[in-house]
Amino acid sequence: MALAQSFALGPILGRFAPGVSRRVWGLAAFVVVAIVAVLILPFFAPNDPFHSQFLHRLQPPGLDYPLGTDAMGRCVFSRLLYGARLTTLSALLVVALAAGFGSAVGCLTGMCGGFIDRVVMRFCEGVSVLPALAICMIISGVLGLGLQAVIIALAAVHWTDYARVMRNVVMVERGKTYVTAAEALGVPGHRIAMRHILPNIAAPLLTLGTYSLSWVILSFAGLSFLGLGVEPGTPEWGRMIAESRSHLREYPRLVLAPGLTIVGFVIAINMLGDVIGDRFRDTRASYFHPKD
Amino acid sequence: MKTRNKILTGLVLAVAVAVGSFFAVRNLMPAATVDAETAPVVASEPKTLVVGTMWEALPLSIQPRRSRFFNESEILDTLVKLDYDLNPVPGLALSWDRVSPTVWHFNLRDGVTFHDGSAFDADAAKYALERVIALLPYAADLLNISKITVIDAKTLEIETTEPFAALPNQLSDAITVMYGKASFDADGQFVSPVGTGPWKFVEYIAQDRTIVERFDGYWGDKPVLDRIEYRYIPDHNSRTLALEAGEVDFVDNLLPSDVARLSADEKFNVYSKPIAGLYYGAINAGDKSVLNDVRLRRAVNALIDRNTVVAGALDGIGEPAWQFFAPQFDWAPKVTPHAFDVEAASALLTDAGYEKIDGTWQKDGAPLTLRILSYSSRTEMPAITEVMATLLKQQGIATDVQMYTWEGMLDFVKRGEYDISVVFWTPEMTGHPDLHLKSQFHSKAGLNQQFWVNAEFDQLVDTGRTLDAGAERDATYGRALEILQQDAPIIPLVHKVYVAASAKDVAGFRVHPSGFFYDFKNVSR
Repeated sequence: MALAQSFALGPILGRFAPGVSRRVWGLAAFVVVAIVAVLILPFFAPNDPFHSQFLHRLQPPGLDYPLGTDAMGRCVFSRLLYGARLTTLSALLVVALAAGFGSAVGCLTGMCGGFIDRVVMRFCEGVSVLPALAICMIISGVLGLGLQAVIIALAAVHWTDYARVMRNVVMVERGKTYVTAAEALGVPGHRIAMRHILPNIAAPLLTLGTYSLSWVILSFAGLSFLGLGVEPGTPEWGRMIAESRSHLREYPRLVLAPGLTIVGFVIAINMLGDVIGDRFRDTRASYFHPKD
Repeated sequence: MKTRNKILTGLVLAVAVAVGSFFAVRNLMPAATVDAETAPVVASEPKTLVVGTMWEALPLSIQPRRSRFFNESEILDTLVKLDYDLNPVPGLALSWDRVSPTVWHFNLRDGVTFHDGSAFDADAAKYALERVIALLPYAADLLNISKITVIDAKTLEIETTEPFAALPNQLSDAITVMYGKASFDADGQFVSPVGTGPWKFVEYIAQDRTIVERFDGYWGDKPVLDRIEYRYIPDHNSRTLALEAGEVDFVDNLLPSDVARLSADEKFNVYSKPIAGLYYGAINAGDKSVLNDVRLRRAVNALIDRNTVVAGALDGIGEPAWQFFAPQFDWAPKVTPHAFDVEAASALLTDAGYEKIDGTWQKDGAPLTLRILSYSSRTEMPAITEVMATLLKQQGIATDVQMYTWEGMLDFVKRGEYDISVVFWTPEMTGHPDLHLKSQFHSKAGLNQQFWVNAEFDQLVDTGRTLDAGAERDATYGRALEILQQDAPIIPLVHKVYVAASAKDVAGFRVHPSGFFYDFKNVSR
C-alpha cells in the first residue's frame, strides 16, 4: 500500500520538531497524503463527469471512456473519481464530528462516573439498539434534503459508538497505577484526563476511527442509494448504483463499477485500520511517553 | 466487533447482488421451462392467472377512496364503460338520454346481480353514486351531480348543476364504480368490495396479494379463467425476474431496458401500446417563479428535445410529447405542436431581457436558474427529470433538481416554492377533454397548483363541458388547447407507452388505452 509508505516521512519530519514523537509525524503525514490523493483524483478524470452525451449513452468501456458511459451518456470512470472525493470528504467529516463529540462525552462520563455515567450510557445504549440507517433516514427526512442533512444524521447516530468505547477505555486507564500515582501527587482531575489518560487512549480511538470510516462510507452510499443526501446527477457512488438499477440486467457493469469501488475502498480502509492498530498497540506507552 | 459485522454484511450483500444479477436469469429460466413442461395437467385444478403488479392492488388500506383497482380488475362495474377507442359504451347502463340540458336518464341493464345475490337496480345505483360523492371530495367536481332520482327500477335520473355533456364519459371514471350495499357494514364502514363485475373479491393480504375468482352470475360474457392472483412486486427488476422464473404469468410496467430483451425471447409475449398518460413539467406561473413570464415558459418548451428525453430516460419506450393530448386520440382537437427550436428560444429569452454569457443565460449578472422538483416513487420520474434538467443545462439554463416523495413535493408545490414540477397524469383516461383541463388547469380548480390564470381558457373549458360532441365542441376545446400550447403552463415531455409481458401460453390480452383496465375476461391459458 503506497499510502502506508507515508509513515516513513515521520522520522524525517521529526527532525524539525524534536519535541513531538516521530510516529505522530508519520501519522500526520499519512493523513495529509491520503487526503491530497483523494482531492487530486478528479484531475485524472478523462472526461467531464457531469456532461451528458446522449448520443454516446451506454457505451462499452474503451479508450475514450475507460469504464464506458451510463444511461445519460456520462463517463463512468470520471464519475467514480469525482465520487471518491465527495464520499471520502463527507465520510471524514462525519467521523470527525462523531469522534469529537462521542469521545468528549465518553471521556467525561468515564472520568465522572456515577449518576452522569449511568444516564449517558443508558442513552447511548438506547441509540445503539435502534437500527442506525433507519434513524438516519428519519433524521435526514426531518432536516430535509441535502448533503448536510445526511452528514448530521450519520454523525448523530454514530457518536454513541465513540462515547461507549472511550468511556470504557477511560475507566480501564483510570484504574491503572500511573493514574493513581498522579492522583496521589495531588494532580487535579482535568489535568489527569488531558495529560495522562488522553494520550494513552489515542490508539483505540484511531482504530475505531478507521473502522467507523468504512461504516460511514457504506451508510453514506446506502442513504444516497435510497435517494437521500446528494441531488440527482451528483457523481456519488451509492447514487450511481441507484441510477443504474434500471439497467442492471443489460449493463451490470454500471452497478458493478461503483459497487466494487465501494467494496474495495472499504476493505482498504479496514486494512489500514489493522495496520494502524498494530503499529500503535505494541509500543503504545513508549511511543507517547518516550522518557517513561 | 459491531462495525466489522456491518462491514462484512455489507460486503456479502454487495457481492451477492453482483453475482446474483449475473446468474439469476441463467439459473432460474431452465427451472421455469422444466416446470411448464413436466407439470401434470389436472382437470380439477382451477385455471389461475398470476399477475405481478407495480402498485399494491389495494393500496395502503382496503379503502374505496384509494383504489382504482376495483374497476381495473372488474370486481366492480361502472355505469358506462369505454371501448378500445375510448368511446363510451354500455356498462351497467344500457343507454342514456339527455332529456334536458341538465337532466340525464340512464336506462339500466336488466337481470344484473351483485356478488352477494342482491339485485342491481336504480336504487342500488343511486346508493353507490351518493356514497362515492360523499367519500371523495373531488367526485362532486368531476360529476357535477346535483340530484339523483329513481324514476323506476330500471331508470335513473341524474340532474347536473349546469349543462354537462361530459357526464357519460365521466361516469366511466374508476371512482364511480357501483358498490353493492354489502360492501359496507352496518355503521357504513367499508369492508370489502361487493360488485357486479365478472370477478368477485376473495382475499386481500396487505403488501402481498389480492385474489379474485370468476363470478358465474356475471351479466356479460363469462371469464375463461377461474381465478386471478394480483401479486404486489414493486421492484421492476424483481417483477420481471418473477415472470422469467415462472412465478407469475403476467407483469405490467416493464423496465424500458427489459422490453427489447423480453421481445426477443420466444418464451414471452410482450404487449406495447401508446395509452392515456403524459409525463409533463408543470410550470409555476405564479409570482414566486421567473416562469410567470410567458416568454420564458415558451423558451423552456422550445429548448427541450423530447426525442432525447424518450431515448435518454426511457430507452425509447414512450412517444415524444409536443402537445397535451396524445395525437392518436381522435376526439382531442388538433393543435400546433411545440418544436425543438433553439433559435426561437434564444429570441424569446433575449426579448425577456436575458443575455447568454459564457454559455449561460443571465440577467443582471444572475444566471437563470430553475428549481425542478419531482418524486421518486414512480421509477421513471427521476430519469425523466434528470434528462430534462440536463437538456436545459446544455442550453445554458442552470437547474436545481430535487427529488421528494409525492407528498413532500406537493408541500413545496402548494406553497409555490418551485419553478417546474415533473409529474405524470392520465388526462385522456375518460375519453373526454373535460377531465384534466377542468380539474387541473382551470383557475378555480382545487388541483391547480400552478398559479396559472387565463380567463379565456377558463371560459372555454366551462363552455366545452356543456356542449355535445360536434364541431362547436371541437372548436371550443381546440381553442383551449391552443392556449395551453401558446401560454405554455406546462412542458409536455412524454406520452406514455404501456408495456406488459406474459408467459407464451397466456392468450387474449389487449392493452386498454385508458391505462386503468386489465380486461382479463377474455384472457385464457
